[in-house]
Amino acid sequence: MKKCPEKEILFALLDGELEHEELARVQAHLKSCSRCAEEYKQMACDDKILRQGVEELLARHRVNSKIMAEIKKIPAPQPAASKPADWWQKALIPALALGLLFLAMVFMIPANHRFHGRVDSVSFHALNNESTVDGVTVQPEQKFNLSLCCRQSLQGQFLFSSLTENPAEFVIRGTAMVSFTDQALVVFSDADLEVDLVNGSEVKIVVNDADVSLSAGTVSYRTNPRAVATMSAEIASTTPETPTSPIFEAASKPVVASDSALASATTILQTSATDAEVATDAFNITADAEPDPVIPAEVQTEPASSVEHITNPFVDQPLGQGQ
Amino acid sequence: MNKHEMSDAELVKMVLAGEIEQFSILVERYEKLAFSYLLSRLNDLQEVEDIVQDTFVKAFRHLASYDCERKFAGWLVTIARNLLIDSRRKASRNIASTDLVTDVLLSDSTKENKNHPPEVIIQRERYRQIINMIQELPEDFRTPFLLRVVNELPYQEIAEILSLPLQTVKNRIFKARGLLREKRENYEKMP
Repeated sequence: MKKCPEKEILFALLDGELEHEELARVQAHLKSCSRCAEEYKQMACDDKILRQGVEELLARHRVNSKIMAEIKKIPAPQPAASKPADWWQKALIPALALGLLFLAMVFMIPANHRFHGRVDSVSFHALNNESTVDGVTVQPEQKFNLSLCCRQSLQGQFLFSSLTENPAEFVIRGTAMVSFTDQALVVFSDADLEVDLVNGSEVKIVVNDADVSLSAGTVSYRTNPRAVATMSAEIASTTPETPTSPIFEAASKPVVASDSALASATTILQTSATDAEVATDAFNITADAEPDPVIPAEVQTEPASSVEHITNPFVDQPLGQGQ
Repeated sequence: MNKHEMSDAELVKMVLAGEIEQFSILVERYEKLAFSYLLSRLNDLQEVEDIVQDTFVKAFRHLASYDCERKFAGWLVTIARNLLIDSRRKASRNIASTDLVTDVLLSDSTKENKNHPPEVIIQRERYRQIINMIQELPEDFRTPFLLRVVNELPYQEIAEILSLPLQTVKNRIFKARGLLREKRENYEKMP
């Protein structure tokens, strides 16, 4: 190296920051350049004097013993405990656990039950202007969803729409308390009513603690012929305009008390405990009773075909196909 | 293993485990660093001493919060810097004469000069000149320069301790050296 290095190179040499080839090159230059060598020597000397001067000062102001005397007066430091969790951190794990538990429960419920149990999976509305819900007269356009939490008191005529896996609609007439179970069952208690499946292939309900299956082809179900007969007569007199499907129309006829044959035609389709009440001595009607010849033949012989292609009488568009 | 060969983290763990006296090894190891750092920032030697002491006491109090992954020197200088800021807020005594350090040295050395050979007296005079020149450097240049010269730390370590980029540290040390060189030349030209 013939040319003198930049002063920064000499500084870096002084600070021990040069490496390998550059270090060798600069050191070689210092051997051949007295001016740079003198400069370097002067700076190194200044550094040494400064270092010695500060160390001399430090020697006069050492505080090690003072520090040790001081720290013996104060409590010894303890290893850091884990930082206390914030409130949200404390709540996080239980919340996650609850969330996972909830998800596990949801997935353990059979799929059809989850579907049936939807809050809005079953709804109903009145079919006339005289029907009441919880004692309040309701209008046909008012839609009510069944909920798991509350029972509702119904009186009058209502169309129930079940948007379950097998959509169905049925009409009830009479009085009952209605509720909804987590098993997706519509439950009528304290019921004095008549039920007709007007659309769909099948629907299962509970009436006065008895399981009732309404299938396409069956005509109707009623709890107590006498009471329903009376109630139906009243309804017939007060709401002659009640819209019905052909099936609904046929099924409504037997409930007239005087028409025992029609009544029997409905009772033979039921097998539940409530059916036993139908075959009471008061009416002296049995399932084996001879059908009255006045019953339309299609009702007795081909009820299933009558169920097909039912148009929901309460809406403009068909709800579905009877199967 | 000799305790003086132990790493900072090992010593910290021992202190936290109850061996408080091991803290003196950390003090020995870093007292000069804290001193030279504060010396580069203050003119009052008594205040330097006080803050060095406070720095180690505070470090001891908060030793449990020390992250062993971090350099102890950097942590210590951070404490010293914070105490220095507090001190500057509170007191006005650090607005002292820029010659205070050199005055102390000079007065001390004057007392002792009678017993020293002439070469020691000359060296002390050189020291007084140098420290005077350093006092005239911008503070930001002074600190890395003193850490380099007094503590003989590599640039990289100074950068870590002062939380500065390596290149910034290099530039400041070079500028400090360049300015000192000019001052010395001017000083030598003086009659």
